Amino acid sequence: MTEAATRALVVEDDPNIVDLIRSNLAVRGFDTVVSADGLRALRLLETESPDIVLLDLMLPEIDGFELCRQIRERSSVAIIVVSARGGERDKVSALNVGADDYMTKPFSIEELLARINATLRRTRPAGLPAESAPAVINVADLEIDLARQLVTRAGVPVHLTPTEFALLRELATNRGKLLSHAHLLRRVWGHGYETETEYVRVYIRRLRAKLESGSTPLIVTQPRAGYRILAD
Amino acid sequence: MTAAKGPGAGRRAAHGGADGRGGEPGPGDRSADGREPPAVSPLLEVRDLAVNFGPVQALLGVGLTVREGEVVALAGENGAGKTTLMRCIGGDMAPHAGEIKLGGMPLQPDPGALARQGVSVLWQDLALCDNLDIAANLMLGRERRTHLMSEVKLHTGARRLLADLGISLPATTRDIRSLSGGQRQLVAVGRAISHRPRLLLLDEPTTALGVTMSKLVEDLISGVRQQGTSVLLACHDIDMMFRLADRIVVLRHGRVVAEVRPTEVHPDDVIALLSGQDADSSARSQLTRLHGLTGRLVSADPSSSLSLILSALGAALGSERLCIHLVSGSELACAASLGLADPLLSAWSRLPQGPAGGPAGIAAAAGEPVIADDVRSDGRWAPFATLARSARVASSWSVPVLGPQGLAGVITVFRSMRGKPKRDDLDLVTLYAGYAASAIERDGLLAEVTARNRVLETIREMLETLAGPLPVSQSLGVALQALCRGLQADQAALVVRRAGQEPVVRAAAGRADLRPASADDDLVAAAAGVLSRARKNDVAVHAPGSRGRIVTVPFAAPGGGAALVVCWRTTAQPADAGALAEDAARSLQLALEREEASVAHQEALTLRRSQELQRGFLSRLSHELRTPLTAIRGYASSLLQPDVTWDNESQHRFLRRIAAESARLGRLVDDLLDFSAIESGILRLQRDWCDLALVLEAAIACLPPDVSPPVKVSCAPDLPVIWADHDRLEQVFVNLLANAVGHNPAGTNVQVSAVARAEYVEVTVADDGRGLGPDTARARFEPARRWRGPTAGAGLGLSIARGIVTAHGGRIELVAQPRGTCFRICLPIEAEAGLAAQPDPDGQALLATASPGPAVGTGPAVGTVAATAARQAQLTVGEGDD
Repeated sequence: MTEAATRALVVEDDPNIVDLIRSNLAVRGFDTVVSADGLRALRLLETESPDIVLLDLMLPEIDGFELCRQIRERSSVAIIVVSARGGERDKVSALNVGADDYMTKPFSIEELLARINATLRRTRPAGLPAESAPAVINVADLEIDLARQLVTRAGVPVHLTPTEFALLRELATNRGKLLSHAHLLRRVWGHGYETETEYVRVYIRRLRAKLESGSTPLIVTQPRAGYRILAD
Repeated sequence: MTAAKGPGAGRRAAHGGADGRGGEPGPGDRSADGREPPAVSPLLEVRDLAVNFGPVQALLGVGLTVREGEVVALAGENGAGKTTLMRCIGGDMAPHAGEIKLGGMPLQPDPGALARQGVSVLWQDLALCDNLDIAANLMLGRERRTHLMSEVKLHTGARRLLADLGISLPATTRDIRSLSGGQRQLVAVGRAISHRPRLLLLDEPTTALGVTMSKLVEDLISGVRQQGTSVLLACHDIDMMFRLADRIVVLRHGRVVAEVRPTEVHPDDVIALLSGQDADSSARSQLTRLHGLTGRLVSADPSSSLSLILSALGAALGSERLCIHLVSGSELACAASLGLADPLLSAWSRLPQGPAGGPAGIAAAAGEPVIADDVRSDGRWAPFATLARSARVASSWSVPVLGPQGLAGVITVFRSMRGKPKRDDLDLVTLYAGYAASAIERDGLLAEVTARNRVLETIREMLETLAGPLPVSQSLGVALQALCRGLQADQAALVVRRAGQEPVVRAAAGRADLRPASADDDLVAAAAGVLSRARKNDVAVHAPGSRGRIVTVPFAAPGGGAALVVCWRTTAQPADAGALAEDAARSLQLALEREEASVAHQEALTLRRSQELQRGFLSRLSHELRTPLTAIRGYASSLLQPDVTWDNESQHRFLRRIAAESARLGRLVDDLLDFSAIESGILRLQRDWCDLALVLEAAIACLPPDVSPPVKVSCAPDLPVIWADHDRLEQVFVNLLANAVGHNPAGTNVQVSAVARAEYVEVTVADDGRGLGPDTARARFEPARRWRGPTAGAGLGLSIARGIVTAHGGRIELVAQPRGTCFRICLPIEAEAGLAAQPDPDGQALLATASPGPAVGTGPAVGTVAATAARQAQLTVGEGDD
């Protein structure tokens, strides 16, 4: 993670928080770009190609959720929402509009760094286990190219965010197996996320929206247990 | 117009009967407008008939027609020639001259031929065969056709015939001699009509019969006629003719003297004709006069109907002096008069009932006519003897007018000649008295209907008012006013009593005025009395009060009971006031319920809004608390990172910021404590005599030192010291000044001025900055808009300022001005002479109503300016202090 400096875009208008995050990321070798407003943030997203966005929901001039949606529209960059709003509803809304993770203020620096690392690991996998399953998995009309992180449906490429891809990969490589929420959270999001069941729900819903058509479900829900992709 | 009482009644009934029959459908019936049917050759045509019995001319030049389906009656006294005519037509006698045609063919003077031509005759002497039984008599005519019928067949046929005709007789085997006269007549009638003849000749068919039998025979004739048979009927019963006949031919001395239609003449006319009088006699003209009067009365204005009757009576009697008195309480009041001299008229304008009222008074008291045939010697005229002499009244008749409710009035006829009236004349007066009675009744009904209409209109108006767009609180008074007008009442009030509380006048009104909820004591007392007793709801309670009549209607109202009280002090109470008040009470009840529902709705809305505001406030507060905490925790945890060694500069910066944010957190907590103290009313003031100039100076010193241009302060030199908490006031001004400085672009002028008023000191904090324009309204919805000021944020500053000022007994308000923002703070010089109790002089909303956080200005805003101010005040707090 240290060879090429990881670049973080911090969207935040409180100078204290900006200073805090920037100082801590800098000593760990991150490049940090800062924007206090939404328009500049979108510009920096283009020009700086950050690896991760730390996004405050309370910004002047633009609604944080809307900004999150716009960022997600343009890029599959990892997004961690950092908000003083701790409500469950805010968290689900943020995930729905494309956030990969959600942190509530106040937070400790350890927590922030752990989440940044987990999200980066998930969204930018360092490579595949050597002995692992075939490089391409076919499920119904889907073709999942694990090596190149490409998904096509009936030959048409489908765009998935890294987290969405990671979730699909976990389900596809374990075809037929029931995978619990906790398992998925641990495997896809990382340790420390086991209780965040909304994450799984939100992302399963997004996968379904992108991959399923009509009557045949790709991902089967086992109520209160987990999910699976049926074996042939 | 109801039927007149007295002698006229019978005649009119006869008329009615004739009219009713005329309306029945029938082949030969006249069309509805009374015109002749289209000319068809008549069924029976008699022309120039003459019969002599020796030297006696029984019939001479008699002509007569009977059309298809027509009933023609022959009227005449005994010996007038009816039966002779019938015998000629019936083929029983040959006329000496003239011709009789049936259906255009000459009639054969032979009973057998006649029967074949469809003529059936019922003779006066019945012509029954006494040696045969009922069946044989009935079937007499038929045997000829069927030759000898079997006995069984004969009787079966006879029974069927009787059943068809609706005639009930003993067994058909009974000998005809064993029957009563009436039964024999029925057999004869039955036989006559059993052939379904084209023409039925009936000679005195009911002479021998009693009333019941006559009716039966009459019904049979009607039935026959319905089936299309034409009837020629000779009889003496004029009323029966009028009931049955289309035309009446009057014979006298063997000649046809008249041919009349029952619809056009009166039975009396026919009687007159029979005896040789001219039909157009005095009685006829009286009748015409009455008929005309009836017509005029129907369309007459109620007020003029009595005059009309009086003048018609005058004309009928040939008398020029009459008057009519109506019962009015215990007196008689002259309602109309004709030709009376003024002195007599004025003396008679009001008469007591009884002897003091002269002949009219006595007639009223006794309910019987008083005939004074010689006024001079008549004691009953004694009270008015002189007047009578000067008015040349020689005799008089006073006839009581009796209506359905008893005595209605008295008609008096004055004559200038002595003597008793003719019986007919007296009958006429009685008859006209009947008309007068019904006219009076009609007028009474009309007046009642008018009053009722007025009241209904009132109730409708009330309902409309109460259901209209006006708020119930305002419409109640208007509705009560309408009620007063409708009921002619002097005052009406709605008294409401909530459970466990004293009754309160909710609304009140007089006929012409709306009262602020106050009613006379006796009304309130009446309502309270009714409400406190166990009573039946929705039922009017009548009580004669000391100052008029009072009606109270208690009814169930939200939260307790209510009563509608109506009183009549100077005016008369309408008869159905109770029922109407009950109606009105029902609409008031609905209105109160509607109001209650709308209040509940409003409360729910307010509560929801307040909950929303509270939620918003808490969310913002949470945000404001989290922000410094995030910095503190973040910096602290950064310093504790084991894998990083921070340089000195960073360490210092981190620590500085931790310290600053901790301080900010501390202030926030202080604000929250202040706010909660204010909210719960336990804000403690450390009062002392304060110099306001010093307070302002201290507040300005708290602002950042580089404020440019510096805040301008102008204190009036005579500013008194005030009894206040120095530190708290300083807090207020720091907050306002910081808002003014921090919110506005650099270079904004901020001015503070203080002047002394009568019992308070007025301080204004004004700036010429951005003011609270529409952009602030938008900014308010951006919770992230923060700035660092002496107060910690969270939107508490203005609320706290307001709380502190209010605790001092003063008030703070936003002054509407074209540019910038201006707050005015009024502080009492001495605490107890507080302004808080005074009404707001400008009618502007104060920032004085306690409500959590940004909810400011929920007090009643009066007028547009105040409403704007309230809105702006809310904006200020919502956005500005954040």
